[in-house]
Amino acid sequence: MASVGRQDAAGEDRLSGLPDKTLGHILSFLPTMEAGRAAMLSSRWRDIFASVHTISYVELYDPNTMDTDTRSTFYFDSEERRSTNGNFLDKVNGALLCRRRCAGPETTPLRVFHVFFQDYHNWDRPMVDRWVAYALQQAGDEELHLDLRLHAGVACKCGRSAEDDSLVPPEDISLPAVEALHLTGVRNPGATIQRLISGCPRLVDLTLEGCPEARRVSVLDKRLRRLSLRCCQNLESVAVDASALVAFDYRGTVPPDTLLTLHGTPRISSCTVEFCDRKLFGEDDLVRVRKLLDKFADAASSSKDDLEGDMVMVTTTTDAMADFPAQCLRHRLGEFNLVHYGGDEAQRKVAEMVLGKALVLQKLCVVFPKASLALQTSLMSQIKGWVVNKSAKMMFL
Amino acid sequence: MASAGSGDEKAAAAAMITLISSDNEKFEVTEATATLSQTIRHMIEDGCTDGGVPLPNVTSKILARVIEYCKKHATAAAGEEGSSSSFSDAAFLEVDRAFLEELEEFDDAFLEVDRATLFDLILAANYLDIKGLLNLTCQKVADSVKGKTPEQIREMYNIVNDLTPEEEAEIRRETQWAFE
Repeated sequence: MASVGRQDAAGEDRLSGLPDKTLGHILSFLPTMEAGRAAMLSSRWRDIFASVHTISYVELYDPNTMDTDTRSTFYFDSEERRSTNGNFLDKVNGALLCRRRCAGPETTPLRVFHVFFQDYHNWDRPMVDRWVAYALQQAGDEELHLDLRLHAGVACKCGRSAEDDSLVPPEDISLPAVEALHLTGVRNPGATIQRLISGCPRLVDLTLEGCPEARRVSVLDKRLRRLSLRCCQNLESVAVDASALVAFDYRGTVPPDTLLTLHGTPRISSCTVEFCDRKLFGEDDLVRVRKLLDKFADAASSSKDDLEGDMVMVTTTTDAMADFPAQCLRHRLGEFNLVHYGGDEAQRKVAEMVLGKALVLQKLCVVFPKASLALQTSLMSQIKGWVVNKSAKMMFL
Repeated sequence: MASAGSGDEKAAAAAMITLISSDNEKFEVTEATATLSQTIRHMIEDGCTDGGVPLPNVTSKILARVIEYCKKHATAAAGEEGSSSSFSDAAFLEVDRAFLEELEEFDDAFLEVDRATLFDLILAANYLDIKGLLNLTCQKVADSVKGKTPEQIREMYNIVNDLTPEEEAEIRRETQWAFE
């Protein structure tokens, strides 16, 4: 092996000499279509696509097919009621069929299957169902990242990555191996969402993000470790077996106190709450915020874990902050993060109150938005003054 | 961070492993460094590392580089294990950001090698089953061919086109889906 070191320039083809699996790994870093074109290189590469473990497609916005007029032409006049996503479907099918054609006894298991539609249509459903079935069948023992996004840009503006956003679960879905389910921008009726959750017996990590139709969700038949509810404005009730819950994450408007029902005693170690109400942050809201936090604080008091509060205040504009995060924080709050801290009156009030009560605070992290150094410095010294537990580690970014 | 520190101490206290390259050079590394390689991790678990681990597929030159990589990344891994919950631990991540940036710079500099060395590193990472190093090196090759035509790729990597025009036409038909 040492001898080949100098011979690269002399024309040795070391790339083609790599094992199939490694070539497939290299091609998996490329856009799927480029990986498919590698078959043109030489006979060595002809069936290499079977070793590619990542199939990822993003439908690009095409004004010709995305145009609403065209869409309605298809809808009303077209004999062959073909989806306007036809070209896109063809491409994904092409890749999957190619994988099947190239497949040999040593086909690499599929690890990643990402398909992002611009605008999914009901007609696409049978096809997407079949893709998902194929992907699940092709997945090996290692994990499969299945990510279907059916409408571009529906997730709320803070849009985080989603891992499994399946809008069209087959009628009787069963995903026995799925441990983490992230549903983003699912517009289906709540029943579909519930069915999907019920279809994952080993689920431990559930994220619902920007699902306007989700109203009632029940996860009582399994023990979640992490629950994240983000921007689901119509959620009415979430019932969870919380006996194994360690992390809770909420983003959205201040919820009604009936939102969350926790069964069992959670041992929460991380609780992140972000409120994105633009204007309203009245007294009622504060009471409700407190009730939400109390749910975890009560539970945490029976365990040794610290409750880690992590509040991102986007905007809060009222000064009615009377008895905000009350008792519960006093002996529980170990870590407090303030993000987007611009130092307006409401934010200052909340910060002062929380920090003044947090007796066992160990870590404080404040992130300022872009502002002058002088302003930051003055806000910083103000915050330092509020911290009641002087031994806490403070960070300002 | 305290957690990273305790990781270091653990590593220091752990047993040393001797790796032997194909040209019989011996390298002493900590167990934490060596176990970044799944292959070696399994050997350690099976208790067959006494008297050194012979690596007949890896030259001393490449092994030295691989160990350099593993040492750097083993420190990072120790830090990660130290933090109990990796998610929503924003403050911890902030502290770590500087370190991650440093790690990224290290990786970039590490990849500044000639192509022959790059392929040797890929083979070594593959053989030793070091996920991070394999990803790093494969990504580098992928980046180098990205957006290139088959002809350009062949030229770049000395790939000989042994396809007949008929075969080429056939492949083109089969890979229709992969063209715009």
